Amino acid sequence: MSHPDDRLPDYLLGMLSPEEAAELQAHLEACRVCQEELRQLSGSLITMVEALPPAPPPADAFKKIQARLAGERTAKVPSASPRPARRFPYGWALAAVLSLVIAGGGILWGYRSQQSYRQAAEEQRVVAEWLLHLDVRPFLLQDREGNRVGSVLIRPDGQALFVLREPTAEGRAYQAWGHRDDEDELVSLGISQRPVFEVAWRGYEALYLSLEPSEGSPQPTVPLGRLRL
Amino acid sequence: MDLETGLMARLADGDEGALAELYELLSERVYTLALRMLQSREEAEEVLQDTFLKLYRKAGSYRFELGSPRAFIYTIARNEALSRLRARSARPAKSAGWEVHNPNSALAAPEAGNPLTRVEVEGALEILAEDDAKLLQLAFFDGYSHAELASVTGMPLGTVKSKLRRALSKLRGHLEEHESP
Repeated sequence: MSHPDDRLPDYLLGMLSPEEAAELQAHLEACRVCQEELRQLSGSLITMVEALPPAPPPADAFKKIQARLAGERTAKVPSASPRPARRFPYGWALAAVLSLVIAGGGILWGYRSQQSYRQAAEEQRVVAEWLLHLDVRPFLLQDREGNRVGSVLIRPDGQALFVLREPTAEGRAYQAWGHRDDEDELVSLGISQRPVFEVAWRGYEALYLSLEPSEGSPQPTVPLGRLRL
Repeated sequence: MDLETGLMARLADGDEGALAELYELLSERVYTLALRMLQSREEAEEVLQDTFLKLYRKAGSYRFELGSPRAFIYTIARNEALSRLRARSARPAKSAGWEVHNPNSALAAPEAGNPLTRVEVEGALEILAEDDAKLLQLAFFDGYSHAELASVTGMPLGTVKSKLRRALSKLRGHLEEHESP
């Protein structure tokens, strides 16, 4: 087996093209020699970070992290509203989102670990909470052939929630991208291994989703779907 | 199993106490990295929070064979900061002397007490040639592509690539020498 070890530094710095990165990733999956080389080389990046003169973070930063975690855990579906029901203006897409949520429910019981179960349950609660907002607009996420890949809920405050069927395989992640009509390049909006995740969409005319290595890619490598806002 | 690897294993099981311990160990480094890359305390704090939240959710995907826990965590932080850098309408401009930041750009405007407006080549980076160290810093901290580095420095693309590879390999070799018993 030949080892593409001369490309490992570029891979580590995120400087390979998407095709090159995917090729190297596939090699890494099977090659212990290159895995070890990459592991050793990653020590160089640690040196880069730790050579910086340290700056202490704000004292309350971890409390904020804990609050965000607690907020995710305690997100609950509000009790039935006494307000009269209003017709949802995007019935077809809402049905698509609900079908994904229901499909997610089926997956939920298949999870082996308690953490995965808890995450999936939280994600279902998040989706349900988003759907209760009257100003949310659901969109279908489709691949090039028009097949349904998932859904995206769009809120006017600039937030979007991707809702997909299942988590990614180990070592892979979903990556969301924004595109402006007057620019060629896509801008990364977020990376997630979970099937439900939030990004900021403001300023973009289209959203894209791709499948990437767990740390994400500088550009999409495996396109999954897109939607126009 | 070393301390950080053990903490990652506990975190993968959803142990929030392990997150607190990793934060205690590495938050200053993560914040410093984000501050260096974004030159904004507010955004650096956001990256710090996002990094540890993402770490909590992604701990199960950590693979020991591809790098240490802190390499994993710094990579998450760097990617978070890079996404923000790329989302900005314009990069900080580079001067002909290829300083890391143009002193006239808003991004380079130093905040009060910010120690990172200019990173000196110091410590372990001193083993690198000055040009190699600068290239590595532009690539790592500012997310420059090979083509952008060639444009900024005036070096041929192949030279940029080989210098970067050499610099990382040299740093690696330096570490091995110092870690050997």
